Amino acid sequence: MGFGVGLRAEHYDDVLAGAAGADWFEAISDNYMDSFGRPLAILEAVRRDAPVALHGVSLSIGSVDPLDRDYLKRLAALARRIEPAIVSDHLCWSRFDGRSLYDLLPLPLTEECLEHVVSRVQQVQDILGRRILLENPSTYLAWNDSTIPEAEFLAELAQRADCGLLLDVNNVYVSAVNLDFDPLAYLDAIPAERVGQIHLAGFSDMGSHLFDTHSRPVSKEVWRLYAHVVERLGLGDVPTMIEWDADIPAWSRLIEELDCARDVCANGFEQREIGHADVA
Amino acid sequence: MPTLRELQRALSTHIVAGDGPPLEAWIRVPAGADPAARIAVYTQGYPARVTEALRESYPALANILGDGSLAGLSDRYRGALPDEPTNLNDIGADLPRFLRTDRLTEQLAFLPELAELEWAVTRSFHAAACDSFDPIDCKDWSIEDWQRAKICFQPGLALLRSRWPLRALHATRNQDRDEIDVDLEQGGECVVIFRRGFEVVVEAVETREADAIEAFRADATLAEVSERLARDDVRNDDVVKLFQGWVSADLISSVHLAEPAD
Repeated sequence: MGFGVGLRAEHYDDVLAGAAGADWFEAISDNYMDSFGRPLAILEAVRRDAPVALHGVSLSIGSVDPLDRDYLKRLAALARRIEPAIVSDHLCWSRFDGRSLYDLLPLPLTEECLEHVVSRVQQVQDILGRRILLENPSTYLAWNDSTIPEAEFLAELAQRADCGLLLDVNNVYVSAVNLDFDPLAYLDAIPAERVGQIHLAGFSDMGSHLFDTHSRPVSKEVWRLYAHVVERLGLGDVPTMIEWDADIPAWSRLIEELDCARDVCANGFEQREIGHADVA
Repeated sequence: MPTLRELQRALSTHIVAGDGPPLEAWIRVPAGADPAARIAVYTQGYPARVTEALRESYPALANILGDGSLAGLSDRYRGALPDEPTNLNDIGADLPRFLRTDRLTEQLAFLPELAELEWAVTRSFHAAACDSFDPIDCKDWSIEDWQRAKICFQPGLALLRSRWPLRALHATRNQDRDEIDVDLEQGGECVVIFRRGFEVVVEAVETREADAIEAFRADATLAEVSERLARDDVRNDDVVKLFQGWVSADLISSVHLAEPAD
């Protein structure tokens, strides 16, 4: 699939006008599954010319609440309509006792939780009739009871539930700084053969922690980690995209960032041209 | 060691209610990091996201209120919701009803009706577009058939009757906040909200047109609507003109015949 971008309303006109630069698009499922107006029509138009990935934020795969069957039904209907190359969500919980909390909340990385999530991923895949990818979230705290490092948790989850992984390199870096672990060791523990998609994005430095804002260019540190992912893990052929969701730039600037990803993928980080390095 | 359920209950209570069992003993952050600040990333994110979602659905209302009042309204609204919808985009569905009893409405009495308009605009934007009615489908109908005709409008169509100048209030979404100056004394209006292609349109309509739309949406036949409007001295020709206007504006998805009365 190559290199893609998130499909955002700010770029609808560019995309419909055939603006070049992106090989594929990722759409936030929640923004299209309850809409039958302009957003869905544009997504369908985009899909006619390019592959689309559906990326959700409300699956709440780790919640102790029952799976939201209605949500899954609507997601399945959207997937039938769009025929996406990829369907993904996050390793997190976002709903408790019927209340949606609109966040990607951290799970305790324990055997109890692993079994719980494995069972739910299997149910979701049965309902959707396809494999899903789960993304490593950005985290700001860890639970004391966690006994399994996140990368190992994801590896075990992918194997037991037979699901794929969406490797968000920015999230790895943000969590590594916030929780003080080695991001390279994390990446080396990820089973490369399970990675079906890669996210790149920018964060904001809040002083006391890094915040996953998707509002800035990809940082130098994240480019270096991405180069590691490509070179050491051999993931250069995995569909890779830039997420930019706040302070969204013009289409041309977004594609510059995507071209940086192409460049790093092809040449490595250290060989990048100065102009590209400056954007970090 | 708390169970997964206990842990999720504790954090969700902090997020929703701002209290709950102390979490600091359950979490781990690097040396030098403030556990409370890390918990706050989650507890502060939730109200901020709800407020932003309301701002997105209610741009005029948000602009009129300003950031502080909007955040306060968002807090009170969240506190009154029995549960939140899964999709954050739907969080504002109940705001017009909530505003009817909210304290802000004592000062700004138009807020519930402005909110109703803005939510109708949002719904219209996302509504499905059915196939359009084609008059050629009815070319063989007799006068008697037309008397039994019932009209289905496009799902994106909404009708509001207001005591307030809704279109002027709605236009404030694009104005600098300091320059908002709507003459509330100019009186109310009936408006229809509908989609023209992908664009949502808000247009004023006369009372008789609003009456006719309302009657058709209540499943009345053309004969029944004509009879009702005739009481207000509206002639049959005028009803036909309304119908033609709706057809040309693509507001009608289908026209079908009611079963003949026994």
